[in-house]
Amino acid sequence: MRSNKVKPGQTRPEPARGSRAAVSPGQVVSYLVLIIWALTTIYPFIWVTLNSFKPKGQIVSSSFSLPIGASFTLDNYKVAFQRVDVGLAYRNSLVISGSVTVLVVILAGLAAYGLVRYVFPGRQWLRNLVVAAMMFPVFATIIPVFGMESAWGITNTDSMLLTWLSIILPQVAGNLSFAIIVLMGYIRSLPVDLEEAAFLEGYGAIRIFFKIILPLARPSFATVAIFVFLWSYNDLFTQMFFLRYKETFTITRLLNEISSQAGTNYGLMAAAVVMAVIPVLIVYVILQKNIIKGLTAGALKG
Amino acid sequence: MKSALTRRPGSGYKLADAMWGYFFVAPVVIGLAVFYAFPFLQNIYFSFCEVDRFNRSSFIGLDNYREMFGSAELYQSTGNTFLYVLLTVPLGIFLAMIVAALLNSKARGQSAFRTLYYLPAITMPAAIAMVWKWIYNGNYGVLNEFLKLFGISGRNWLNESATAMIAVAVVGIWSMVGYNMVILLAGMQGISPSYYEAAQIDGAGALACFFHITIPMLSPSIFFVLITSLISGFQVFDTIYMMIGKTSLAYESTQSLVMLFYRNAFDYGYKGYASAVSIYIFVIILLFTLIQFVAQKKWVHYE
Repeated sequence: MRSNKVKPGQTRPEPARGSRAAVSPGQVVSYLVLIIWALTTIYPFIWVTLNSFKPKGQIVSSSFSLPIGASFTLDNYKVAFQRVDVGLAYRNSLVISGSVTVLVVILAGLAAYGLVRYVFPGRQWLRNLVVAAMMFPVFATIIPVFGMESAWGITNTDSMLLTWLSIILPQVAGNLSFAIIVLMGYIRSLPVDLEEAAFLEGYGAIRIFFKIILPLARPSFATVAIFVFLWSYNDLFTQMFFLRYKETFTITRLLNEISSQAGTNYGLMAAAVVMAVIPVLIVYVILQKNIIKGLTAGALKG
Repeated sequence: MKSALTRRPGSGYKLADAMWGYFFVAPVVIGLAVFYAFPFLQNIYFSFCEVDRFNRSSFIGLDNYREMFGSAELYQSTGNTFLYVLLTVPLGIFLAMIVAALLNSKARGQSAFRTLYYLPAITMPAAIAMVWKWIYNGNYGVLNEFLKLFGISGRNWLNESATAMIAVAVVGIWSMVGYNMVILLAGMQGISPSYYEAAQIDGAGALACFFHITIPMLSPSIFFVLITSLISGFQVFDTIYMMIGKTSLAYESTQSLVMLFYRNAFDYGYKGYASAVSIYIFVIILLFTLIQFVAQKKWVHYE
């Protein structure tokens, strides 16, 4: 405001036309703030990645040095695969979070379709139930759920399949409401014409869902799938409850284990963090438009 | 023959259509009943019981609540949780607002910045906690090395009750700014430029525009961000659990309510008592959410 070249307010409505030659001190300051904040978000990741390629000793003595020449090593990653078996944890994470995602997308998709397009007694009541379920935090249900699953005999067993099932079920249930609400918003906005035409062609309800709704609503199904997968992959609380044996550990659960047991092996810790985070970051960078669009759409409706 | 699709809602239903509706909704309803409604009710009942591993329960009345409200730990954890919320929520929204406003006024690089800022929100909290734990380490943490450059001798941040909660709150703020910023920025972009044009004709400066146009028009987004931040703040678990070890001297002064719940349910197996704690947390969150929904009538403007 004190600068006399460009008033910040003037450029606001048409930022594209903003003058490029004259940069006011105010703009310099604001870019500086933006860049500094960007550095705080990205630098910790870079720093950990660099350190994961250095020998243990050097990480502690000089954590800012670069892993070049003699100080470059892959040992930390070898240890991660041999001693703590990150490969197995990847598999567990993918199986669990993948199954949760597929199940949520299908079940929530069917339910959202039914709640939007079919008229039946109790429909409004069921819609309210779905929204209400969002209110209940996981800690208010987890003890009975764990006990119930113990009674079914699917927790603390030797069977990998049953253990997977024991965590997949509560994670699916925990994501249904969010998914249904987002999908209902999208399906409602689709024109009914195609469904009508298909109906007149003799398509049944299930075929209409898979052949018409699913392809048309693909963007919102994709958004839901991304968020459900991320939530399931990152979630520590539920995993602490249901995954008790090493062979069943997911990446998140394994990180907790490494963090509490590796003590001072910062090389191993760095490698583990990189392997847990980097796949998500890569997917994020590729899909970020979907993610941010979906996020804001959900927020505006919520 | 007409299907449910072609009829307006409220004009009645056909049995066949209703059957399909129930068919589509049934798996979800059963899932929510088995994994939400029933366990939630059972959890309330458990809070009045002693419960063993297989959920065999024996009714003991109000004993769990008596014990809970008589323990200093509950008040300590409640205080810690409130402190965490107080440290993270206002600052987390304020910083997000500044960043969003700066991004909104500059077109160039906007989406790149936004991508970077949202990074912490999609990253596993457990991994974030591990990295920050290392940054804060008293002997070879980056923070202390950095401070050394200025001749300041650092501390053992996570091991001292004076600094541990602040250190954890910084991580909380760092993680939440990106999410809040994306929501607020979307809200700002939805404000019609004509308001700003009109204000400029009246000679309003950038700051006046921000306080008299941006903030009121943005209030629904701010409200949304406030509610989600409060709810997740009261449920803080991952970062504190990962960053503050059981041997830390700051353990007591950082233990959150959900950690108290977790320890009783998981480490000790005091399930009835833990259920009482979970009801207590649930009621606190519910109260704060209700207060916000009542208070919003005073400051949130819907168009």
